[in-house]
Amino acid sequence: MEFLLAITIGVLYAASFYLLLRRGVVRVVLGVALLSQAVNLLIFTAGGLREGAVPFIAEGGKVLGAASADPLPQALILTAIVISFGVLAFTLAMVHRADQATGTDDVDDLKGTDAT
Amino acid sequence: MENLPIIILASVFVAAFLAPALHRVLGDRCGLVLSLVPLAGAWVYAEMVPRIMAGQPFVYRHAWVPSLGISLDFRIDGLSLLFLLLISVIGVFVTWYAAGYLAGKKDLGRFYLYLFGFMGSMLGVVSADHLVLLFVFWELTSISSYLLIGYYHNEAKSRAAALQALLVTGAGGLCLLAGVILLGRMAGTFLISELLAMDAAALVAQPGFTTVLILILLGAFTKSAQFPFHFWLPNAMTAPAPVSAYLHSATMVKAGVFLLARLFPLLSASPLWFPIVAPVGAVTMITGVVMALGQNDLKKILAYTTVGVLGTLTMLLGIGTELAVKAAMAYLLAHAIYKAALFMTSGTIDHETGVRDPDLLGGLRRAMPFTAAAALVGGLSMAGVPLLLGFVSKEYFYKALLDAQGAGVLWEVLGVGASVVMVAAAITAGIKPFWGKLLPTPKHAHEAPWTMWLGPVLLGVAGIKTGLFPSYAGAGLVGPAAAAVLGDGGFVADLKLWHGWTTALGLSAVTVLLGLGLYALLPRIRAARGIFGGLARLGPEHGYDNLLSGLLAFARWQTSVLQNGYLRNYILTVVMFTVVLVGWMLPGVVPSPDWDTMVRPHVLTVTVCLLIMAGAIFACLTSSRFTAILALGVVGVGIAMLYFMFSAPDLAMTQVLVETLTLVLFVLAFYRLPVFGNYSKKSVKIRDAILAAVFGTVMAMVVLVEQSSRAADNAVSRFMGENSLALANGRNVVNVILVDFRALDTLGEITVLAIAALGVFAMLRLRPGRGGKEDR
Repeated sequence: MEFLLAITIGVLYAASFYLLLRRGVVRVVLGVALLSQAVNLLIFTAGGLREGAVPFIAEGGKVLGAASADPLPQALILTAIVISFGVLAFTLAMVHRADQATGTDDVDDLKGTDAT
Repeated sequence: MENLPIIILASVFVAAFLAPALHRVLGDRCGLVLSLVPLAGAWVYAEMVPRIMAGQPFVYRHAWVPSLGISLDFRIDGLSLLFLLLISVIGVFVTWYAAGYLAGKKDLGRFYLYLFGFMGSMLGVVSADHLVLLFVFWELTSISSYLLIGYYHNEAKSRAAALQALLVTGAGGLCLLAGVILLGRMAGTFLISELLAMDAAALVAQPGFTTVLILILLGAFTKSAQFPFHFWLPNAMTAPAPVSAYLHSATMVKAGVFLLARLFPLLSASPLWFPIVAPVGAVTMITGVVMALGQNDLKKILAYTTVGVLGTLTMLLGIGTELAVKAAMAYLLAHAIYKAALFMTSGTIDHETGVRDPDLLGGLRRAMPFTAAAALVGGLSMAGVPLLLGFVSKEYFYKALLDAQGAGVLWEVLGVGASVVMVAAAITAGIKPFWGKLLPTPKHAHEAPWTMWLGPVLLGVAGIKTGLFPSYAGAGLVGPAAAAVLGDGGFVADLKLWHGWTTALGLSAVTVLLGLGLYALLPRIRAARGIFGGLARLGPEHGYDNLLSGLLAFARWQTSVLQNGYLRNYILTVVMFTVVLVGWMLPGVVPSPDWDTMVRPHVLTVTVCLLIMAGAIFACLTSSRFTAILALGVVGVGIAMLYFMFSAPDLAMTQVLVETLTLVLFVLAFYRLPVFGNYSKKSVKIRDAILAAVFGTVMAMVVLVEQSSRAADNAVSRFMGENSLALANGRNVVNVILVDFRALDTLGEITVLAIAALGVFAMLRLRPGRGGKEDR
């Protein structure tokens, strides 16, 4: 399963990289979104896969069972998911405004600092 | 007051920083007040002569960076004292001189800041007993030299010369730093006094000592303008005259010679010392005097003869006999005295007449009698005329060459040849402008204010006094200095005026006669100045120029390639660089999949993975915005399912919520977003696809490596697991981490979201023209 996930993560990275290299600005935004998914999944897989072992302290128990999934990467990813949503929303708004202001979605036309 | 020398050192720096304020209050007179500091220093150092003569060095230690073993260690012995006296006494004269030379200049305060900064650094160089401390002061002298050469900063020539001096001496400084660190590591101590007390032969025999030697020599040679690094010194003559007199003849350029002398007992034990140092010195000496012949500018003549003298000193240290070291110390003292005076008098001529070409000068003695007298004494001392210190030191120079190891006659011929040119240059710079027929000058010549002639006159008096009674200077300064260099406490040097009818005396007479003859020929030599210009162009300065312009061209080229303004090329560069670096490491660490320890695949999970991959690839290929957004949703929901299946329900819930919101966001923005343009050529797309595939492969391998090398137990996770219930009363450990253990991080996260929301709001609602500034 880890092997398959590694391939999945590789495909996600490849796809996001390909999209980031495009000139159309909307595709770049899609690349950003895919990239954060890939990173999250990478951290998740690196933290170790466990089936049916949620990181809850069982009723009656005092400490987390040794067989439980590692809670730390999960906490990190949870933060990352929310932040990447914020980034995505911001980027979308920015792309929208940039399109309004410049009338182009070609990244190469956005090189200069002055409005054309 | 045991620590007076240290207090003097500190107060020079304090004076430096007070100088600008003082200049605002006192105007041009601030130099006179400031000169009290080096004057007090000269007094303190002079008072130390008897104890140094008795062989009791002054030692001061103070911890500075104990964790690095760096401390403020100072030690003043005979060698240090000779330099300290030169720096402080000439410092007083130069401070006065600058008050006259730069009178009325608005930024005189800044000038004194640099000058005193230099003075303090130079005092530090010669009294430091710690190699790192010495290096720090050494670099400070390079920096203050840079600032002083570039004092006329509105002139491009000054700036170029300043930069050249900084780059050459700075590069040497880096070599010195490396050499010093290697040496300290090798010997196990950074204290110079301890280093010199060690068994030099054992240290020299260590592997890698040759590297240390060459690095330290590079530092010394660049600083003391040795061939092939000599070119920066004549160019540094764009500085004001007081700077040339002080830094670029009397003190700073001798720092390299000082370093050679300081580490002499250690470095000269190397078999490479003589074959490197003596020839470099000899070549520098000859280069300096030959180039001096072709100059028609007083300052340049003096600068090239300074190069020659620095070569002489290096050559003497390279020869390294007792007599040679003693001669070097005497020569150093004599040169500092007469050359500082001559630089100041030629600066006065320039200042009062506006001319620096010796051919256009003459008969100024009536207009400026004091300056003329000082220049005469300086010139005669430089020419090595009897009854002056220059004569005494040259006698020792000749004697040392005569008994040099190897081909003594060859050294002697070179030494006499250089001295002959010195005589001609001395007449040109010290005598010609003041005697003979008065030549008309652009400015009406008259005597300079006392601040500008008193220093040179006093230096002349010192030259006469030490020349007539050399035994005082010999026993008090030169002897202890030579003893410190040789590392031999029992060695007592004496300087004598009269040695009997020796070969050296005969050579001195021949030198003066030949020098007079050469002086007569000078106009004809200078007429062929084109040859000297050609020589200079062929020289190492040409190499410096090529190197510098090559470096700049390379910088421009690589900037235009890497910083090309296309963001995606930046991403490409960064990612591909990472891929190459990581890919380089990967073979060998990627484990072969260990199927047994892995979680068994399930039909459901495999299907989800395939869906995710299909979604991602589809998002790349589709030309419809709508399909791309849907494909993105497939990926997001698929990942949420993976989270759910592998024991992360909180993640799954958050992911589903966020995916939904993202989808809503995209759909809301759908009609406002630009349609997919087709910008890239097919070949570019294929290239990007291949690179993306490579990147993806590397990342997949990284996942495998990380998977297999994960630590079984993680202290942080264990802490969270054990204390979640006990400390925070929560059974959902992930939640507890977010809202309790790392609550501050979560607050930060909320802040980020709030800022993003504000940004989005601002971008969508605030329009140009609606109260805001029109932007199109």
